Amino acid sequence: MGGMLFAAETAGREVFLGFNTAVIILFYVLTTVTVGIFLWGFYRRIRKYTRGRQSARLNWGRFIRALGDISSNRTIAKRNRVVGVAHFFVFWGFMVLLIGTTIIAIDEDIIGFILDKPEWQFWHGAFYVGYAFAMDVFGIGFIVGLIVLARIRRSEPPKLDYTRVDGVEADRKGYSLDDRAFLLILVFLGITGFLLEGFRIAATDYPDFEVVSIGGYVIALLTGPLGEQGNDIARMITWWVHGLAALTFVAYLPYSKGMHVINDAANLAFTEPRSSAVLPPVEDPTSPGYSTLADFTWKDLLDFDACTKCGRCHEVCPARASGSPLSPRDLILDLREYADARSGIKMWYGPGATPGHAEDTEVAGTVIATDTLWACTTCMACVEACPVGIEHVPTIIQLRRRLVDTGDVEPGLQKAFQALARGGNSFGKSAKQRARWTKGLDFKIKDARSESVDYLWFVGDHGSFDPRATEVSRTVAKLMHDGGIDFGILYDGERNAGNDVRRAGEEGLFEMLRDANVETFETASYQRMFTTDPHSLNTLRGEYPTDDDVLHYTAILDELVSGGKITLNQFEGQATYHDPCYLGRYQDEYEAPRRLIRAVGLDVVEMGRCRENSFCCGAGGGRIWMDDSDLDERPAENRIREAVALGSDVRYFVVSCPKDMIMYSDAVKTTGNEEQLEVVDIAQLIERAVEAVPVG
Amino acid sequence: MNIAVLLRAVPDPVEELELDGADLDRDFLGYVLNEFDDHALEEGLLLKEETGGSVTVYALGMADEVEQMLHTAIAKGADAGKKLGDDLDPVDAHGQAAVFVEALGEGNYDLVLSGVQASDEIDGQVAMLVAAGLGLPHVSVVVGTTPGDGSVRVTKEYWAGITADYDVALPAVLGIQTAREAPRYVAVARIRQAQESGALEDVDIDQPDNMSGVTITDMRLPDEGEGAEMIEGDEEAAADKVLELLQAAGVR
Repeated sequence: MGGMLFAAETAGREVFLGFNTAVIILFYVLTTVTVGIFLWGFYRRIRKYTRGRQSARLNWGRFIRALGDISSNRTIAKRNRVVGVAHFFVFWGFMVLLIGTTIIAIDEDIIGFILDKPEWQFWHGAFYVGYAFAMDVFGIGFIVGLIVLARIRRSEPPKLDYTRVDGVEADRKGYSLDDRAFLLILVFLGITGFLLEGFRIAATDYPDFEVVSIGGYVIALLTGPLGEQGNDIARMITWWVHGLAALTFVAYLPYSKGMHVINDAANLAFTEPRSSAVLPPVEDPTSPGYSTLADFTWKDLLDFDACTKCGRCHEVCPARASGSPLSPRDLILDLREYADARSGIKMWYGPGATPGHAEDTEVAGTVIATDTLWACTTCMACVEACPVGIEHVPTIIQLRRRLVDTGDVEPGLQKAFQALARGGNSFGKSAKQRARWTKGLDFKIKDARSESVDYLWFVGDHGSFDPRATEVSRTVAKLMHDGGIDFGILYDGERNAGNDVRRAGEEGLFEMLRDANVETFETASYQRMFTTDPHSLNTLRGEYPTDDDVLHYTAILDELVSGGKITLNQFEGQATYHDPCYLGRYQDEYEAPRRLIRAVGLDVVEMGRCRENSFCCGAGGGRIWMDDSDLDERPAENRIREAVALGSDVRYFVVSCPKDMIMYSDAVKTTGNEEQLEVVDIAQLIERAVEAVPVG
Repeated sequence: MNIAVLLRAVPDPVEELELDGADLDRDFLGYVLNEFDDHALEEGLLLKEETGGSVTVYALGMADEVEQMLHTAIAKGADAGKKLGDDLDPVDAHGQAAVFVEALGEGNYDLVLSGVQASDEIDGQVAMLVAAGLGLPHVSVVVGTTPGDGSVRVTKEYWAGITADYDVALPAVLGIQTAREAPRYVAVARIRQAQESGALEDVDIDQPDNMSGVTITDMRLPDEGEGAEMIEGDEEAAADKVLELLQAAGVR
């Protein structure tokens, strides 16, 4: 060790070893041209984003989190460990090699040449040794990571199949070509870098300190037989090959997938993870949503370019899985291609002009087909899965707002909207019938408008009107009552909370429902609120002007059980739990329901897609009102099959959302699994455990 | 083509109807736009989009909801709305027609469209009486129109699904059963904007009289039969159940 450090005193190397001035000048001319090409491509992109509408995205907390996301690659590693680690090596390899190159530029070009202060130069000695070691270690990681990623790509996973899901013909071979070109040029740069180093070490008689250049030294040992002169010739050639490849890469970057190294860091820094849960309001009610490209914000435009086509959104999307024309990936790529076409950018790898792209047009219904927009369940799986912070859901909703404004509304949805405008519920029932479900209880639920209560229970439409869900509502009422919770409801004063109305794009109707509810809340006297409906929970928490503390009923049941207010007899057996999108991904609540299932003695067997990766039942975002008869497989059926595949020991499919109760009790029937699996609400499990004869 | 569309508010069927003597108990009734009138409006808007011109909507001010209906029509594309009277008592078809005839008289319309009937006027007299009052041709049970030169081609539906086309000289009055397309949706925000547009005019009229010479003497709710049994489950389960019921009823 001591010997090596001693040797480090004289360590260093010459960048242009053995080159004459003319050649060096040629290299700098080429570099200048390259930087020019890069800057032009980069400028074109930036110019495109600056044409976007304003969006306040400066958030220092988010920046700091983005630094963590970027440096750890954790958004890439999420549920894709191998890809994450491989990309981590590539990322840090790239960063260190970039920093290394920058150091040489500072030392040689700025300090040595421009400032002409050789005495300030630092790229030698101990610094050089540490530098050489780091470059080699990270360089090896870089190549290994790239090879792993290339092998994954070669295995052709379905999510990397770029075939459009809507059947529209599109030549996307250019996309695959770009992917491969990008990978290849990086691997080529890495390998030629090491060869260059090896030839140089061999040509300079194996300096002791270069042992730290572990990769290069091994190559130098192998190329030794070429002799000092042979190695020097090989070095000269490789120097140019590597150098030209590096310049090509720099020039190629803003015209290719390579741009993601800049775009995606920026996108992560500016992304707003809550933008699906708390939707942007309509600024101008006379022109709601996104009409033409001019209405998109700069962050939207950045989103479209940030996509690396990794296919994770495509893979998790319930609309895509059920054979609908929507794939979030296709949506983003279509919008990117349109934005490019309108900005005068023609990417060499793009599929060419799509009909309608030549003109400045309505985006909804033209660039993105109407059926595609209505297919979204707003489950947010795409947003959650996206490693680079793309916000698909708010964009879809902005486009839906436009469809609603122009009256282009799916027939089932139109019926629901009209019923909601009339009676405040989507069932077309009279508001007076809203509390009819309470009949059959052996106690009277308080009217929170006339009696003071601790908890105001927001029941929601399905829990009030759908027979399968009202059964659960009565069970919840009984449990709360027996657990000593002081609660009341709003009777005919409650309206649909508007969560799904808003997500279907009907902002005016949402405002109407919200204002009616808020007005009723003001007449009621309560401390806190709870709801049996996760969709209502989401909008009550984030999109109402009230600052009420709103809980999901499972949180209260959890308190009652853990506080010993409800005594449970034990079952034996296994259950699986379905995380509702709006409770899990939207509101980050995963534990209370699971604790409750375990509290009745059941083992929770998780489905592969659980917690934040839960698979939507297909009802959200207004889908429950729309026709789903043309789907290949309803998302709920797909989900039930997943649960059944857990094995016959799993007897219960536990839900905690009225829409889930409806969708899944249908799906167990249509998939013929009624015998095998029982769809049951958590409250019903608790009720059975209260009433059951103890086992054992 | 300048078109007038007559809109009527009818009791909202989602509310439980109760009787008060020989009439519905109207104290707590909600009102909605007569479904056939919604189709008349849609057909009118489609004709306007094809030929240019204007659509003016008329409604009798017999319910609070009438203004909302007129605003909705304006939001959908009607150019002007006229609310005839305010807080009027219900009036029979002859009385309604008389008010419409008077209001339409100065309008110089090429076409007057009305729903073929209404849930509280099931014999569909209003459009005919308006035609008679204006002395204009009339076709009823219309399921589609095509604008022509000085005339309009209308498709009328007969019994058993038979249809016939008529050439009708303009001006004329049509009783619309269904529009060519399902009535369009209009966003709530647009209805709000229509409320602020000032396109709605209140027309002062006196309470019209019943003029038909007939008087309702009694009204009865339907006899409560035994509830129908809803057959649930998928196709197979439902088919089994139907088979079981038929066999139980003695069908072999």
